[in-house]
Amino acid sequence: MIRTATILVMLGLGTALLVMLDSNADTAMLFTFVGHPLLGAGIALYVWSLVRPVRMTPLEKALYDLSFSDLRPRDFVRFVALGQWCSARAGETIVHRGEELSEVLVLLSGEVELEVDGERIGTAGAGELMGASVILSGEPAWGNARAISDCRYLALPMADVQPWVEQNPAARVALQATVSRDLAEKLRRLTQRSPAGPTD
Amino acid sequence: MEDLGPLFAHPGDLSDPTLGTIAAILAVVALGLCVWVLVRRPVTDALLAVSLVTVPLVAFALSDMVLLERSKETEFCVTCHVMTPLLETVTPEDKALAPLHITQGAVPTAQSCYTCHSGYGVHGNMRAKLAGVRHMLLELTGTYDLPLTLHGDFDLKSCLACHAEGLAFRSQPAHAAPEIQQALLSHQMGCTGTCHPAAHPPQALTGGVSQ
Repeated sequence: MIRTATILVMLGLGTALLVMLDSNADTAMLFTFVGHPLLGAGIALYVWSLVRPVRMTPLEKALYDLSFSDLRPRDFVRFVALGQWCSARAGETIVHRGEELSEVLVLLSGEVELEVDGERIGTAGAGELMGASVILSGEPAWGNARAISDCRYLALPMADVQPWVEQNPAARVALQATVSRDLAEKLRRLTQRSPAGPTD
Repeated sequence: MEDLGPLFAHPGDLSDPTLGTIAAILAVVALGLCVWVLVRRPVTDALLAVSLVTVPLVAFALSDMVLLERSKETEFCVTCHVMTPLLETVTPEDKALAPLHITQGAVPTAQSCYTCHSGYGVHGNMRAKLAGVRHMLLELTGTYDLPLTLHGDFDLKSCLACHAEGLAFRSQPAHAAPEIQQALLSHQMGCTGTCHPAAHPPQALTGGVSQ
Protein backbone atom coordinates (compact mmCIF):
# COMPACT_ATOMS: atom_id res chain seq x y z
CA MET A 1 0.00 0.00 0.00
CA ILE A 2 2.83 2.41 0.87
CA ARG A 3 4.55 1.46 -2.38
CA THR A 4 1.40 2.26 -4.38
CA ALA A 5 0.93 5.53 -2.48
CA THR A 6 4.55 6.48 -3.20
CA ILE A 7 4.19 5.76 -6.90
CA LEU A 8 0.97 7.82 -7.10
CA VAL A 9 2.66 10.77 -5.35
CA MET A 10 5.66 10.45 -7.68
CA LEU A 11 3.44 10.55 -10.77
CA GLY A 12 1.68 13.62 -9.38
CA LEU A 13 5.03 15.29 -8.73
CA GLY A 14 6.06 14.48 -12.28
CA THR A 15 3.19 16.61 -13.60
CA ALA A 16 4.18 19.46 -11.24
CA LEU A 17 7.73 19.31 -12.56
CA LEU A 18 6.49 19.32 -16.15
CA VAL A 19 4.34 22.40 -15.64
CA MET A 20 7.20 24.22 -13.91
CA LEU A 21 9.58 23.44 -16.76
CA ASP A 22 7.12 24.39 -19.50
CA SER A 23 3.88 26.14 -18.56
CA ASN A 24 1.39 25.82 -21.38
CA ALA A 25 -2.23 24.77 -21.70
CA ASP A 26 -1.35 21.07 -22.11
CA THR A 27 0.96 20.80 -19.08
CA ALA A 28 -1.42 22.97 -17.04
CA MET A 29 -4.32 20.62 -17.84
CA LEU A 30 -2.19 17.59 -17.01
CA PHE A 31 -1.13 19.13 -13.70
CA THR A 32 -4.62 20.32 -12.78
CA PHE A 33 -6.74 17.35 -13.83
CA VAL A 34 -4.28 14.48 -13.45
CA GLY A 35 -1.52 15.63 -11.08
CA HIS A 36 -3.76 16.87 -8.29
CA PRO A 37 -5.97 13.73 -8.19
CA LEU A 38 -2.83 11.56 -8.25
CA LEU A 39 -1.31 13.42 -5.30
CA GLY A 40 -4.64 13.31 -3.47
CA ALA A 41 -5.00 9.58 -4.06
CA GLY A 42 -1.41 8.93 -2.94
CA ILE A 43 -1.81 10.90 0.28
CA ALA A 44 -5.24 9.35 0.96
CA LEU A 45 -3.77 5.88 0.51
CA TYR A 46 -0.89 6.72 2.86
CA VAL A 47 -3.27 8.10 5.50
CA TRP A 48 -5.47 5.03 5.09
CA SER A 49 -2.44 2.81 5.73
CA LEU A 50 -2.01 4.64 9.06
CA VAL A 51 -5.58 4.55 10.26
CA ARG A 52 -7.00 1.35 8.81
CA PRO A 53 -7.72 -1.42 11.33
CA VAL A 54 -4.80 -3.83 11.78
CA ARG A 55 -5.57 -7.30 10.50
CA MET A 56 -3.43 -10.24 11.59
CA THR A 57 -3.44 -13.72 10.14
CA PRO A 58 -4.16 -16.52 12.64
CA LEU A 59 -0.41 -17.32 12.72
CA GLU A 60 0.48 -13.70 13.40
CA LYS A 61 -2.20 -13.38 16.07
CA ALA A 62 -0.93 -16.49 17.84
CA LEU A 63 2.66 -15.24 17.78
CA TYR A 64 1.62 -11.76 18.91
CA ASP A 65 -0.22 -13.16 21.94
CA LEU A 66 2.67 -15.50 22.76
CA SER A 67 5.67 -13.19 22.58
CA PHE A 68 5.13 -9.72 21.17
CA SER A 69 2.17 -8.17 22.95
CA ASP A 70 4.47 -5.28 24.02
CA LEU A 71 4.59 -4.13 20.40
CA ARG A 72 1.82 -2.02 18.91
CA PRO A 73 -0.23 -4.31 16.61
CA ARG A 74 0.59 -2.12 13.59
CA ASP A 75 4.33 -2.32 14.35
CA PHE A 76 4.08 -6.06 14.92
CA VAL A 77 2.50 -6.66 11.50
CA ARG A 78 5.33 -4.67 9.87
CA PHE A 79 7.90 -6.51 11.98
CA VAL A 80 6.55 -9.94 11.01
CA ALA A 81 6.55 -8.89 7.36
CA LEU A 82 10.35 -8.69 7.59
CA GLY A 83 10.59 -12.42 8.32
CA GLN A 84 9.60 -15.68 6.74
CA TRP A 85 7.42 -18.44 8.12
CA CYS A 86 9.22 -21.82 8.17
CA SER A 87 8.42 -25.38 9.22
CA ALA A 88 10.60 -28.21 10.54
CA ARG A 89 9.68 -31.85 10.99
CA ALA A 90 10.46 -33.73 14.20
CA GLY A 91 14.12 -34.76 14.18
CA GLU A 92 15.16 -32.10 11.69
CA THR A 93 18.13 -29.94 12.69
CA ILE A 94 17.24 -26.27 12.45
CA VAL A 95 20.58 -24.81 13.51
CA HIS A 96 23.91 -26.60 13.11
CA ARG A 97 26.83 -26.14 15.46
CA GLY A 98 29.43 -23.73 14.04
CA GLU A 99 26.90 -22.13 11.72
CA GLU A 100 27.08 -18.33 11.33
CA LEU A 101 23.58 -17.26 12.26
CA SER A 102 22.02 -14.41 10.35
CA GLU A 103 18.45 -14.94 11.55
CA VAL A 104 16.65 -14.92 14.86
CA LEU A 105 14.06 -17.67 15.06
CA VAL A 106 10.80 -17.34 16.97
CA LEU A 107 9.01 -20.59 17.70
CA LEU A 108 5.27 -20.52 17.23
CA SER A 109 4.57 -24.19 17.87
CA GLY A 110 6.47 -27.40 18.62
CA GLU A 111 9.53 -27.95 20.75
CA VAL A 112 13.24 -27.72 19.97
CA GLU A 113 16.12 -29.27 21.93
CA LEU A 114 19.48 -27.58 22.18
CA GLU A 115 22.39 -30.00 22.40
CA VAL A 116 26.15 -29.66 22.60
CA ASP A 117 28.36 -32.69 21.96
CA GLY A 118 25.36 -35.01 22.13
CA GLU A 119 24.19 -33.64 25.49
CA ARG A 120 20.86 -31.88 25.73
CA ILE A 121 21.41 -28.56 27.49
CA GLY A 122 17.90 -27.25 27.21
CA THR A 123 14.70 -26.97 25.23
CA ALA A 124 12.77 -24.15 23.69
CA GLY A 125 9.01 -24.05 23.27
CA ALA A 126 6.31 -21.95 21.69
CA GLY A 127 6.92 -18.23 21.92
CA GLU A 128 10.65 -18.51 22.63
CA LEU A 129 13.46 -16.91 20.66
CA MET A 130 16.36 -18.93 19.28
CA GLY A 131 19.67 -17.54 18.12
CA ALA A 132 19.33 -14.13 19.78
CA SER A 133 22.17 -14.76 22.25
CA VAL A 134 24.37 -16.24 19.49
CA ILE A 135 23.84 -13.20 17.29
CA LEU A 136 24.38 -10.83 20.22
CA SER A 137 27.70 -12.55 21.02
CA GLY A 138 28.79 -12.46 17.38
CA GLU A 139 30.05 -16.04 17.56
CA PRO A 140 29.02 -19.07 15.51
CA ALA A 141 26.30 -21.36 16.93
CA TRP A 142 27.80 -23.30 19.81
CA GLY A 143 25.33 -26.19 19.59
CA ASN A 144 22.72 -27.90 17.47
CA ALA A 145 19.03 -26.99 17.61
CA ARG A 146 16.90 -29.99 16.66
CA ALA A 147 13.12 -30.19 16.44
CA ILE A 148 11.66 -32.67 18.94
CA SER A 149 8.22 -32.31 17.43
CA ASP A 150 6.93 -30.69 14.23
CA CYS A 151 7.69 -26.99 14.51
CA ARG A 152 6.44 -23.78 12.97
CA TYR A 153 8.67 -20.76 13.40
CA LEU A 154 9.36 -17.27 12.07
CA ALA A 155 12.87 -16.61 10.73
CA LEU A 156 13.79 -12.93 11.03
CA PRO A 157 16.90 -11.85 9.07
CA MET A 158 18.94 -9.52 11.27
CA ALA A 159 20.06 -7.55 8.22
CA ASP A 160 16.43 -6.36 7.86
CA VAL A 161 15.45 -6.36 11.52
CA GLN A 162 18.39 -4.20 12.67
CA PRO A 163 17.64 -1.13 10.50
CA TRP A 164 13.90 -1.46 11.12
CA VAL A 165 14.43 -1.54 14.88
CA GLU A 166 16.80 1.43 14.70
CA GLN A 167 14.21 3.46 12.85
CA ASN A 168 11.35 2.55 15.19
CA PRO A 169 12.30 3.65 18.71
CA ALA A 170 9.01 2.54 20.27
CA ALA A 171 9.31 -0.89 18.68
CA ARG A 172 12.95 -1.14 19.81
CA VAL A 173 11.97 -0.63 23.45
CA ALA A 174 9.20 -3.23 23.16
CA LEU A 175 11.48 -5.74 21.42
CA GLN A 176 14.25 -5.21 23.98
CA ALA A 177 11.70 -6.05 26.68
CA THR A 178 10.73 -9.22 24.78
CA VAL A 179 14.37 -10.33 24.32
CA SER A 180 15.19 -9.54 27.96
CA ARG A 181 12.18 -11.54 29.19
CA ASP A 182 13.18 -14.44 26.96
CA LEU A 183 16.78 -14.43 28.17
CA ALA A 184 15.67 -14.11 31.81
CA GLU A 185 13.37 -17.12 31.40
CA LYS A 186 16.17 -19.17 29.85
CA LEU A 187 18.55 -18.15 32.64
CA ARG A 188 15.94 -19.09 35.24
CA ARG A 189 15.51 -22.56 33.71
CA LEU A 190 19.27 -23.00 33.47
CA THR A 191 19.86 -22.12 37.10
CA GLN A 192 17.03 -24.41 38.22
CA ARG A 193 18.67 -27.27 36.32
CA SER A 194 22.15 -26.63 37.72
CA PRO A 195 23.23 -28.73 40.76
CA ALA A 196 23.85 -25.57 42.77
CA GLY A 197 20.21 -24.56 42.33
CA PRO A 198 18.88 -21.08 41.63
CA THR A 199 20.95 -18.09 42.66
CA ASP A 200 20.03 -14.44 42.98
CA MET B 1 8.99 43.46 -34.07
CA GLU B 2 11.65 45.96 -35.15
CA ASP B 3 14.53 46.34 -32.68
CA LEU B 4 14.58 50.01 -31.64
CA GLY B 5 17.10 49.67 -28.84
CA PRO B 6 17.13 48.65 -25.16
CA LEU B 7 14.46 51.14 -24.10
CA PHE B 8 11.93 49.26 -26.22
CA ALA B 9 12.82 45.82 -24.95
CA HIS B 10 10.02 44.20 -22.99
CA PRO B 11 11.03 43.69 -19.34
CA GLY B 12 10.23 40.01 -19.84
CA ASP B 13 8.47 37.44 -17.72
CA LEU B 14 6.21 39.25 -15.27
CA SER B 15 5.97 36.31 -12.89
CA ASP B 16 8.83 35.75 -10.46
CA PRO B 17 11.12 33.14 -12.04
CA THR B 18 12.70 32.37 -8.65
CA LEU B 19 9.45 30.93 -7.33
CA GLY B 20 9.16 28.63 -10.35
CA THR B 21 12.74 27.46 -9.84
CA ILE B 22 12.09 26.80 -6.14
CA ALA B 23 8.91 24.87 -6.99
CA ALA B 24 10.78 22.76 -9.56
CA ILE B 25 13.64 22.06 -7.13
CA LEU B 26 11.16 21.11 -4.43
CA ALA B 27 9.37 18.74 -6.81
CA VAL B 28 12.74 17.12 -7.64
CA VAL B 29 13.57 16.81 -3.92
CA ALA B 30 10.16 15.26 -3.26
CA LEU B 31 10.68 12.82 -6.14
CA GLY B 32 14.09 11.91 -4.72
CA LEU B 33 12.57 11.28 -1.29
CA CYS B 34 9.90 9.06 -2.86
CA VAL B 35 12.57 7.04 -4.70
CA TRP B 36 14.43 6.75 -1.38
CA VAL B 37 11.25 5.44 0.26
CA LEU B 38 10.80 2.89 -2.55
CA VAL B 39 14.34 1.50 -2.52
CA ARG B 40 15.26 1.85 1.15
CA ARG B 41 12.23 0.33 2.88
CA PRO B 42 11.63 0.06 5.76
CA VAL B 43 11.83 3.75 6.56
CA THR B 44 10.70 5.68 9.63
CA ASP B 45 7.15 6.95 9.99
CA ALA B 46 8.50 10.50 10.11
CA LEU B 47 10.41 10.10 6.83
CA LEU B 48 7.33 8.58 5.21
CA ALA B 49 5.15 11.49 6.30
CA VAL B 50 7.69 14.04 5.07
CA SER B 51 8.27 12.22 1.76
CA LEU B 52 4.66 11.44 0.91
CA VAL B 53 2.80 14.38 2.42
CA THR B 54 4.76 17.42 3.59
CA VAL B 55 7.26 18.03 0.79
CA PRO B 56 4.87 17.06 -2.07
CA LEU B 57 2.13 19.30 -0.65
CA VAL B 58 4.51 22.25 -0.41
CA ALA B 59 5.80 21.52 -3.93
CA PHE B 60 2.23 21.40 -5.24
CA ALA B 61 1.18 24.57 -3.40
CA LEU B 62 4.16 26.46 -4.86
CA SER B 63 3.55 25.00 -8.33
CA ASP B 64 -0.11 26.07 -8.10
CA MET B 65 0.93 29.60 -7.17
CA VAL B 66 3.45 29.77 -10.01
CA LEU B 67 0.97 28.34 -12.51
CA LEU B 68 -1.72 30.81 -11.45
CA GLU B 69 0.78 33.62 -11.98
CA ARG B 70 2.03 32.30 -15.32
CA SER B 71 -1.50 31.71 -16.57
CA LYS B 72 -2.03 35.49 -16.53
CA GLU B 73 0.34 35.81 -19.43
CA THR B 74 -0.93 36.20 -22.97
CA GLU B 75 1.73 33.73 -24.09
CA PHE B 76 0.04 31.10 -21.88
CA CYS B 77 -3.50 31.89 -23.09
CA VAL B 78 -2.62 31.40 -26.73
CA THR B 79 -1.25 27.89 -26.16
CA CYS B 80 -4.90 26.78 -26.44
CA HIS B 81 -5.28 26.51 -30.18
CA VAL B 82 -8.69 28.26 -30.29
CA MET B 83 -6.96 31.36 -28.93
CA THR B 84 -4.22 31.52 -31.53
CA PRO B 85 -6.28 33.49 -34.12
CA LEU B 86 -7.03 36.12 -31.47
CA LEU B 87 -3.33 36.87 -31.16
CA GLU B 88 -2.90 36.90 -34.94
CA THR B 89 -5.39 39.78 -35.25
CA VAL B 90 -3.35 42.01 -32.98
CA THR B 91 -2.10 44.34 -35.68
CA PRO B 92 -2.18 48.14 -35.92
CA GLU B 93 -4.54 47.78 -38.86
CA ASP B 94 -7.23 45.97 -36.90
CA LYS B 95 -9.70 48.37 -35.31
CA ALA B 96 -11.36 45.94 -32.90
CA LEU B 97 -11.03 47.05 -29.28
CA ALA B 98 -8.57 44.39 -28.13
CA PRO B 99 -6.00 44.94 -30.92
CA LEU B 100 -6.50 48.68 -30.48
CA HIS B 101 -5.75 48.55 -26.76
CA ILE B 102 -2.77 46.24 -27.19
CA THR B 103 -1.09 48.01 -30.09
CA GLN B 104 -1.54 51.40 -28.42
CA GLY B 105 -0.03 50.09 -25.20
CA ALA B 106 -3.24 50.76 -23.26
CA VAL B 107 -2.94 47.36 -21.56
CA PRO B 108 0.26 45.47 -20.66
CA THR B 109 1.12 43.39 -23.74
CA ALA B 110 2.33 40.42 -21.69
CA GLN B 111 -0.96 40.19 -19.77
CA SER B 112 -3.38 41.69 -22.24
CA CYS B 113 -5.99 38.87 -22.12
CA TYR B 114 -5.95 38.77 -18.34
CA THR B 115 -6.12 42.55 -17.90
CA CYS B 116 -9.49 42.85 -19.62
CA HIS B 117 -11.02 39.43 -18.93
CA SER B 118 -10.16 38.95 -15.27
CA GLY B 119 -12.66 41.47 -13.98
CA TYR B 120 -11.84 44.12 -11.43
CA GLY B 121 -10.29 43.57 -8.00
CA VAL B 122 -9.65 40.45 -5.96
CA HIS B 123 -13.04 38.95 -6.79
CA GLY B 124 -12.26 39.47 -10.45
CA ASN B 125 -8.98 37.61 -10.02
CA MET B 126 -10.73 34.71 -8.29
CA ARG B 127 -13.44 34.55 -10.93
CA ALA B 128 -10.73 34.57 -13.59
CA LYS B 129 -8.99 31.58 -11.96
CA LEU B 130 -12.25 29.63 -11.83
CA ALA B 131 -12.98 30.60 -15.41
CA GLY B 132 -9.49 29.38 -16.31
CA VAL B 133 -10.26 25.94 -14.89
CA ARG B 134 -13.52 25.91 -16.89
CA HIS B 135 -11.64 26.93 -20.03
CA MET B 136 -9.14 24.08 -19.51
CA LEU B 137 -12.01 21.60 -19.08
CA LEU B 138 -13.62 22.85 -22.29
CA GLU B 139 -10.30 22.61 -24.13
CA LEU B 140 -9.65 19.14 -22.69
CA THR B 141 -13.06 17.81 -23.67
CA GLY B 142 -13.32 19.85 -26.87
CA THR B 143 -16.82 20.92 -25.85
CA TYR B 144 -16.53 24.65 -26.59
CA ASP B 145 -18.81 26.23 -29.18
CA LEU B 146 -17.54 28.21 -32.13
CA PRO B 147 -17.59 31.07 -32.74
CA LEU B 148 -16.33 31.85 -29.25
CA THR B 149 -18.64 34.02 -27.16
CA LEU B 150 -18.19 35.67 -23.80
CA HIS B 151 -19.46 33.53 -20.94
CA GLY B 152 -21.70 35.79 -18.85
CA ASP B 153 -21.58 39.57 -18.71
CA PHE B 154 -18.37 41.47 -19.28
CA ASP B 155 -17.25 43.18 -16.07
CA LEU B 156 -17.67 46.85 -16.89
CA LYS B 157 -15.35 47.75 -14.04
CA SER B 158 -12.47 46.37 -16.10
CA CYS B 159 -13.06 49.25 -18.54
CA LEU B 160 -13.96 51.83 -15.90
CA ALA B 161 -10.87 51.11 -13.83
CA CYS B 162 -8.85 52.89 -16.51
CA HIS B 163 -11.41 55.07 -18.27
CA ALA B 164 -13.75 56.36 -15.53
CA GLU B 165 -11.54 59.25 -14.60
CA GLY B 166 -10.17 59.93 -18.06
CA LEU B 167 -11.01 63.33 -19.52
CA ALA B 168 -11.95 61.92 -22.93
CA PHE B 169 -14.37 59.48 -21.33
CA ARG B 170 -15.91 62.05 -18.99
CA SER B 171 -16.35 64.67 -21.69
CA GLN B 172 -18.32 62.34 -23.95
CA PRO B 173 -21.99 63.43 -23.61
CA ALA B 174 -23.29 59.90 -24.28
CA HIS B 175 -21.47 58.62 -21.20
CA ALA B 176 -23.14 61.25 -19.03
CA ALA B 177 -26.69 60.38 -20.19
CA PRO B 178 -28.49 58.80 -17.21
CA GLU B 179 -30.38 56.22 -19.31
CA ILE B 180 -27.15 55.04 -20.96
CA GLN B 181 -25.38 54.83 -17.61
CA GLN B 182 -28.29 52.78 -16.27
CA ALA B 183 -28.27 50.51 -19.34
CA LEU B 184 -24.52 49.96 -19.10
CA LEU B 185 -24.47 49.29 -15.35
CA SER B 186 -27.38 46.85 -15.61
CA HIS B 187 -25.64 45.07 -18.51
CA GLN B 188 -28.61 45.71 -20.80
CA MET B 189 -26.08 47.43 -23.00
CA GLY B 190 -22.38 46.91 -23.56
CA CYS B 191 -19.63 49.30 -24.57
CA THR B 192 -19.00 47.27 -27.70
CA GLY B 193 -21.33 46.66 -30.56
CA THR B 194 -23.51 49.81 -30.36
CA CYS B 195 -21.02 52.63 -29.85
CA HIS B 196 -17.59 51.02 -29.90
CA PRO B 197 -16.18 48.33 -32.18
CA ALA B 198 -16.35 44.68 -31.14
CA ALA B 199 -13.67 43.52 -28.70
CA HIS B 200 -12.28 41.04 -31.21
CA PRO B 201 -12.75 40.79 -34.97
CA PRO B 202 -15.33 38.06 -35.77
CA GLN B 203 -12.87 36.05 -37.87
CA ALA B 204 -10.63 35.67 -34.78
CA LEU B 205 -13.39 33.94 -32.80
CA THR B 206 -13.77 30.94 -35.05
CA GLY B 207 -10.80 29.09 -33.58
CA GLY B 208 -9.16 29.07 -36.96
CA VAL B 209 -12.10 27.20 -38.46
CA SER B 210 -13.85 28.75 -41.48
CA GLN B 211 -17.49 29.41 -40.64
